[in-house]
Amino acid sequence: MRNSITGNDLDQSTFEKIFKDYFLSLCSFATKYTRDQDEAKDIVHQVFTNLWEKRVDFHLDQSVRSYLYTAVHNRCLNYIRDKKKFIQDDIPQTTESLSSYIDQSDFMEAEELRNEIYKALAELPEGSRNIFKMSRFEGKKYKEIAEELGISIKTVETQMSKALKHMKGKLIKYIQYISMLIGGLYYLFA
Amino acid sequence: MVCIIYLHDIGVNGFLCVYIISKPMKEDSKHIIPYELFIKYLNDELNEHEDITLQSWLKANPEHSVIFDEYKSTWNLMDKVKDVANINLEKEWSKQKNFSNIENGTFISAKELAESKSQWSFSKIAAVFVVLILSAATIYYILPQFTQEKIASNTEIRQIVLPDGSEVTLNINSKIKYPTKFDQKERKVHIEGEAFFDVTKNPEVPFKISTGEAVIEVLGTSFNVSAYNTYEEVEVVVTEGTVALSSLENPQNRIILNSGAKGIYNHSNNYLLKETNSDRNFLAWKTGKIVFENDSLSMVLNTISRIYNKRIILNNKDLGQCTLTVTFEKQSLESVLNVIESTLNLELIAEDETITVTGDGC
Repeated sequence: MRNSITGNDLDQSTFEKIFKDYFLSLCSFATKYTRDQDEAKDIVHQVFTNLWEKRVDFHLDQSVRSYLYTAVHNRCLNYIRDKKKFIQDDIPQTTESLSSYIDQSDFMEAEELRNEIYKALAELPEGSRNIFKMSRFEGKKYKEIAEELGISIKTVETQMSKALKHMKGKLIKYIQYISMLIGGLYYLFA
Repeated sequence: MVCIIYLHDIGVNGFLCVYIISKPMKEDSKHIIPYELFIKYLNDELNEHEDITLQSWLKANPEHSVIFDEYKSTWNLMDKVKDVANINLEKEWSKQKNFSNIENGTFISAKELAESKSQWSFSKIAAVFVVLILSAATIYYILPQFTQEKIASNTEIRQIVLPDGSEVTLNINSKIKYPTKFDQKERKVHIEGEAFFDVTKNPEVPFKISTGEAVIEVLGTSFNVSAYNTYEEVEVVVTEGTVALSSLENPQNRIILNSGAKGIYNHSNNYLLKETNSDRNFLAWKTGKIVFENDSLSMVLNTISRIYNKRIILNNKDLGQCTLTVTFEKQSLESVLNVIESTLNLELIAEDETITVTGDGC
């Protein structure tokens, strides 16, 4: 994946690639400021729209990735600042302090892992991906899922098994890395 | 690789590192893996019988628990994307293509996009009246009985509930003083700045607001009072009900204001004036809705300046005559400026507390 964009390099297919590589992580980042996912998505869309509009003038020394994070970060701060003017309850808001706790570079570092997870999920066939999401992210029981989708519980369970097996296969190296790190550190400091 | 180095440096501790690294699990034909038990365990759906089966599988071979841990870790790893798991990337890409006019989508500029999405989160406030109250004199008069004091800072408006349930919204840099419990005969509060009141109806115990120079007696429910220290006038605009505005010094000097009326008390010249309110944006500070209909740019900028609390400099005096028709609803200053910019082909640059407007004309 290219990290820098110069001059007229930003054509449609590059733009699409950048969008798909960063959109989810940028939304996750923005949500930490806005607390509302729809607001976060709006901000990220605006940043990409702006990027596309200015593509001819695009001259960057830094990578497009840090440009995007900075642009989103700035818009989020503006959002918080403007929102503060119209807060109306007796409890003092702490949105200002929130921004100081979000470390942009920390967030960006964990990005590779998140991207691998998004990718692994995207590779699942739609049926099992849907079932996997409904149980893991929406907390639904298999019976609920079976009823909602009009299929048998057995099918749900089979699909779940396939999905879990796929996800584990794709993400195993990250799991091993994490447990190795933890194991090593424990014995180092125990 | 890393652990082999550790082995030399640490001796005994390094041994454990090597152990972990040398144990990648190959599942193929070696072990039979009870996936159905795993997925039930992870989704908290394991019944007693299945739990026993799982436990005995785990005990059957030490490698089994390693395998099980790997699946548990995979499941837990999903927490990292939980906040965006519901987002459909393809759908969002289609949206983006539309915004960016790629592949014949309808074109929406970044400015229009910013304008169309409200960055406002705001709860509804029922009553509206703003009371601006100025003047030091009244403070000495009223002070002893006011044990509660609430202030809105210079960055946010604030809503207060009074002991009788009345709701007051304070604009920025405004203050209200009131007793912990209202008197039996009169409900008295004191205000500095601007506030909107929604007063609980109680004909037997009149509600009175002192501003320093004027006294506002509430006969009905909702009105706006504007009484800033630096202005020589106290203004009251009534949205609902009836309000009496009088001078503190000469209480006989009094006017009654009904819905839609504006009362002005000028304390340096000592006159009371009643007129119909023509400022449609007098409550914009509170509702976030700003309406302009063929209004001059100077008027627009004056209003924006007041509402967003910023100084605005017009670089080209002629621009003041340009007219604008637009409605803003709970929009950030940035998006309001963007709209003005693109509508009149101007450039608005905001820096800290000042906004500079430049352009060639309309």
